[in-house]
Amino acid sequence: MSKLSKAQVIHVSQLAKLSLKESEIEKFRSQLTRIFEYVDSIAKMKTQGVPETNQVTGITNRFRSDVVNRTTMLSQKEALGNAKKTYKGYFLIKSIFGK
Amino acid sequence: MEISSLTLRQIIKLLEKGEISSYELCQFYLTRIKKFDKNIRSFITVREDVLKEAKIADSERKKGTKKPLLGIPFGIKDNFLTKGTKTTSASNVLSDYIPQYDSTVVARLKHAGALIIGKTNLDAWGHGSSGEHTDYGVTNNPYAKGYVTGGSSSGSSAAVASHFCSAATGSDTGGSNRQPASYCNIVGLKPSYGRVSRYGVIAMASSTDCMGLLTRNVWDSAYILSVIAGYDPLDSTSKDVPVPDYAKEMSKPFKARIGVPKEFFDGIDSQVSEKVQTALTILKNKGHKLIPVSIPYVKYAYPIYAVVQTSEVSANLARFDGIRYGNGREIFGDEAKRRIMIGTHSLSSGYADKYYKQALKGRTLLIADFERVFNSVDLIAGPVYPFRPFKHGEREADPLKMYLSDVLTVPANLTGHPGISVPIEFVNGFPTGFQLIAPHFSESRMFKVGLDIEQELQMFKVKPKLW
Repeated sequence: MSKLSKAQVIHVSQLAKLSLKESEIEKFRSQLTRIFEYVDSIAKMKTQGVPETNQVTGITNRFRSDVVNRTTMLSQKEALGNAKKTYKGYFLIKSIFGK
Repeated sequence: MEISSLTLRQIIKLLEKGEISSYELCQFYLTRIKKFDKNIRSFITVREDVLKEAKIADSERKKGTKKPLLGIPFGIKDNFLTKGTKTTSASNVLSDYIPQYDSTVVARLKHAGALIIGKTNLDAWGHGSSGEHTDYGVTNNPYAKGYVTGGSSSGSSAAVASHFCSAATGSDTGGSNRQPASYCNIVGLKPSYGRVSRYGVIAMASSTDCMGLLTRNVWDSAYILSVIAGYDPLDSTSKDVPVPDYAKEMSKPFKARIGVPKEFFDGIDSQVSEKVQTALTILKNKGHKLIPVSIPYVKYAYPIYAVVQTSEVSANLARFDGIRYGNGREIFGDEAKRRIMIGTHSLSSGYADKYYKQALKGRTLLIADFERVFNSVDLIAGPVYPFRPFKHGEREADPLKMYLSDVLTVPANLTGHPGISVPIEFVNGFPTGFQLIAPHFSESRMFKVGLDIEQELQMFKVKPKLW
């Protein structure tokens, strides 16, 4: 059984930087519980000694020369073009450590 | 001459002969969009500027310029970045995002002369199989008012089906091109993983995201795939495999051994099953060999996908912080929040072995199952959706019920095999599709066999009555 607790939902939302309203916590708790009850069926697969597949291309490493590609380079103005708050050519963010 | 009865192939010929102009073509589509799209809601952004670009394309043609898609207007799913044109991914998180660069698919289409008539609606971020999870108005099925188009490429499919553009792009992470194509009586292509660059498309699940097409005919899909496919240094998972002239290859004779997995018919609607069987009989009568096969791990494909996809979603959507672009995370809709949390839980300490790692191992077994079957067949065939189009709101209340729409399409995303949905006979007045899955980089086989169905049934001649 994969019944999720309220505390687990809050924990997961905090890990994912999502702030949930009180009413959302219960809604997602019951929905996630139902989904994980279904997903739990994967435990029945006999996977001992089976390697994991992260991707299907078979490509392992891909190297390129360490040179600047000017065709994909953004100017400072372009890079900042979508930011809500900038300051002297920088992205402006909220302070992390408080005052 | 009625433009909406022309195929892309005919349009290209008429443009070349100078019998129609790109300007007329764009004007025709824009007029239809103005008249009908307030009800269909297939576009998030319509580009009137396309008319100016069409004039330029027409004058280029007069000067003798030859490009494969010169002056052809495309709908672009709104999760493909388009330089200078708003790209929302159908989420208010990106309501004002103006990309500084083009996705590779868009760049290649433009290089081939294609024009962008607009950006199409979708389930926000690609999360959905119905087109209902959008912040820009739910798309209506052009064949059935009040019914879903399928998703997530809801707008691209509805726009192509409604003759609002000549073709459209779509991303397919778990069935997002094949599903809405099936519900909108058009052709939906998911190429092999690595066949088409993912660069510049807002990432959903990076290991299963495939960029493909929504078109009215099989030929269109094959022809355009040759334009957008191929290695891209900007996407390290794109593969350096030669790109054939798919449209030309399609005309070569080919009699396929088609595997029909019994698991693809477990629990599906009997009327859908009946229409799929009719399509199989057509193929048999055309000389293809039908072989019953079994792919037991298909029953685990959806739960494996649920874990892998949401885990990757949670990582990919972590970048949306409202600092460099877009708005804050509080604006995410319920579906994005749900998937982020399922993924975060699957990856979190204490649960990663049970969910994420177990799913990755299961994925290995599923791939092995498919490879075993592909040792003795050339293609795998079955339905696309387990049921016919449903009413808006009918499945929304129960997310699990909605997710199970994907059971027949997610296997090819997990294995990386190419898949296509080709229109077959309607079920009680609702469009439905036939799915073909091929070995890696064997798209030509799907086109050839898909064409056999298309030529027999000619479903592209059935047009929606818009309102």
